[in-house]
Amino acid sequence: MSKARRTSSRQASGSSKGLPKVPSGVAGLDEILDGGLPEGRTTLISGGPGTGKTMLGLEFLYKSALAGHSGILLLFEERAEAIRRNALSLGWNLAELEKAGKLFILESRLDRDAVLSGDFNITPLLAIIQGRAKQIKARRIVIDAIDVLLRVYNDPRRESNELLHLHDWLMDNKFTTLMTAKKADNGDATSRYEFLDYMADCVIVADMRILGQVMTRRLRILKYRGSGFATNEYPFVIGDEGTVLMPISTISLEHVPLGGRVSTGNEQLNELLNGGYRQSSSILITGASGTGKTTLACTLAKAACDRGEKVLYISFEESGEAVVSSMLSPGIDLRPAVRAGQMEFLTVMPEAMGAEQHLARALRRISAFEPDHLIIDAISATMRMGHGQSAFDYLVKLVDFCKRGGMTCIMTNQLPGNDVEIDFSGMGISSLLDTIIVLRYISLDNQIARSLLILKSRGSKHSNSYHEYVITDNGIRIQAMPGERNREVTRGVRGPAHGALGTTGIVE
Amino acid sequence: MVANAEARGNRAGGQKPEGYDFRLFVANNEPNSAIARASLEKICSDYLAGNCSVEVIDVLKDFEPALKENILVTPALIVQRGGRRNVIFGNLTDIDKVLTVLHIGSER
Repeated sequence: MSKARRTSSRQASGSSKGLPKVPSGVAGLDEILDGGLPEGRTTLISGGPGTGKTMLGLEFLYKSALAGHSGILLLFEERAEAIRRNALSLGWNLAELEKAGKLFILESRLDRDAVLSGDFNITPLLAIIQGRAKQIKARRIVIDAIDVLLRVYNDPRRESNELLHLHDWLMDNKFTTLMTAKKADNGDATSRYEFLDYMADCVIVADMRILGQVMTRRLRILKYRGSGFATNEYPFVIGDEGTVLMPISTISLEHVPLGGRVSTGNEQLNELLNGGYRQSSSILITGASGTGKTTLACTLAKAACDRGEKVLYISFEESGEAVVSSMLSPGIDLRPAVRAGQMEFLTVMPEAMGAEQHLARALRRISAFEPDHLIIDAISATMRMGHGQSAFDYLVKLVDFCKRGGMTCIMTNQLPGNDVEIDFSGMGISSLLDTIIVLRYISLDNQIARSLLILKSRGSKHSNSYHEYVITDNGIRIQAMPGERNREVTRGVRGPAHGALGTTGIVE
Repeated sequence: MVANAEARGNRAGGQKPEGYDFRLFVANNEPNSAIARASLEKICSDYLAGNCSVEVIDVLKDFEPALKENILVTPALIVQRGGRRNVIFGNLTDIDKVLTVLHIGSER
């Protein structure tokens, strides 16, 4: 399959003319910083404990070092060994960079037992920075927990004076600096370190909050002297590979146009869809519990695998093994595709993590596996990720990512009841959907049966009729409703409703 | 005064008197560093009767010793005596505080 997978074209340099910037190294952050951190200037990241400040700083230095720019990490609070160990869990080998002279870590914890007797200043600290910077040609510095350094002065006026002095010194030495500071997140105007905000050229505020029992980290840019920046709050996650920011602004309309028609794996369904569904489209299968949504999705998945394509199945309800084995009963054997590595499962309980983390995890897996089809079963479960808005963000961003990459996205949605035909639980994602298939329970000859309706199929003719949807031991079967069948029989027409294409009305 | 200092040393350590090893970290001759040198000289002669050794380290000439000892501010005084290590930050003008660290002077 020829794939028009685009690498997202993000402009490295923004519209802020004349202000040189350096990439932050944090995925997504440079976009909202309109290019990166101000070169030769000081950026402050403030936030309460656990907001990820240290990680942002560390990632800046790590990515810089990989790109050949050495850096210095000053730790006023954490131990160097702890930082090295944390970094290693992300696969970042700091010790190697230190050995290679790309990174210098100074564990500058001030002696707590030290006695103060008269005035002093931080000349040795500066001498050490300057000396090491010269040795390893470092131009980038991260000062982690500047507030701890300032506390040694124990005098608010002295603190701000010394900080201004440090700020000037860093500028004079042309260091691109990122400093972190702990601040109460209640925005208390009497905050002791308020002057930090005034001093820094760029201020990033990080915070952590609990939405519906799920922890979410967010950050926003408070100010950026001489540069434009995005003003919203952006969720971010610290995942297995570092920090990832997910700015809404990346939701562009760079979608790959819909591709050619491919088979659903079911002849009758292909006919209802005027020949099949379009590659790179997004399809929603919606219906109450037990109406056969997963079976239909797996029918499409099997057909895709039979064509040699790859399918990633994100399941919020069942394990991969459970899905594969439950599909054996309707005769859909996914085992060969799984064995051949064409089909993979990503299973996780929605409650297990926040929506951003879910998203980061899914995107990473997609990037690694490069599937042609993505199945999300079921999107209704995303509401359990903590918050309606985060579930919406998750879906919009995931579908957007698939569309930009030219992937086909098949989603199931569990409706609360049979009488509800269209309900995205207020998620409002219908504009992202190209095709909507509605499954329902109906009563036929005093028995429970299932019906299928193509509610929408963008840019394509499709059947407007309800059809009977039968799950057999040998896959699915879609046929005209009994009334319709009878009529066709009397007209001498056999088989499924050919005439149902186009503008035919809904059967009585 | 001399006898007093030695007696105090005896009582504190419970063993024969030991001298004080001072390492004073300075930043060349900037004002606080100059004040600290003068203060330390006074302490040595007035309170310790010279029962001490003083090494002055200029962090601007060589930062490695400061890095090794985790000395980030100057002036800073490392006091070593009988396996005990104490650190004092500042220009040492608050002599009472220095004497407290040296276990002298509370009865002055």
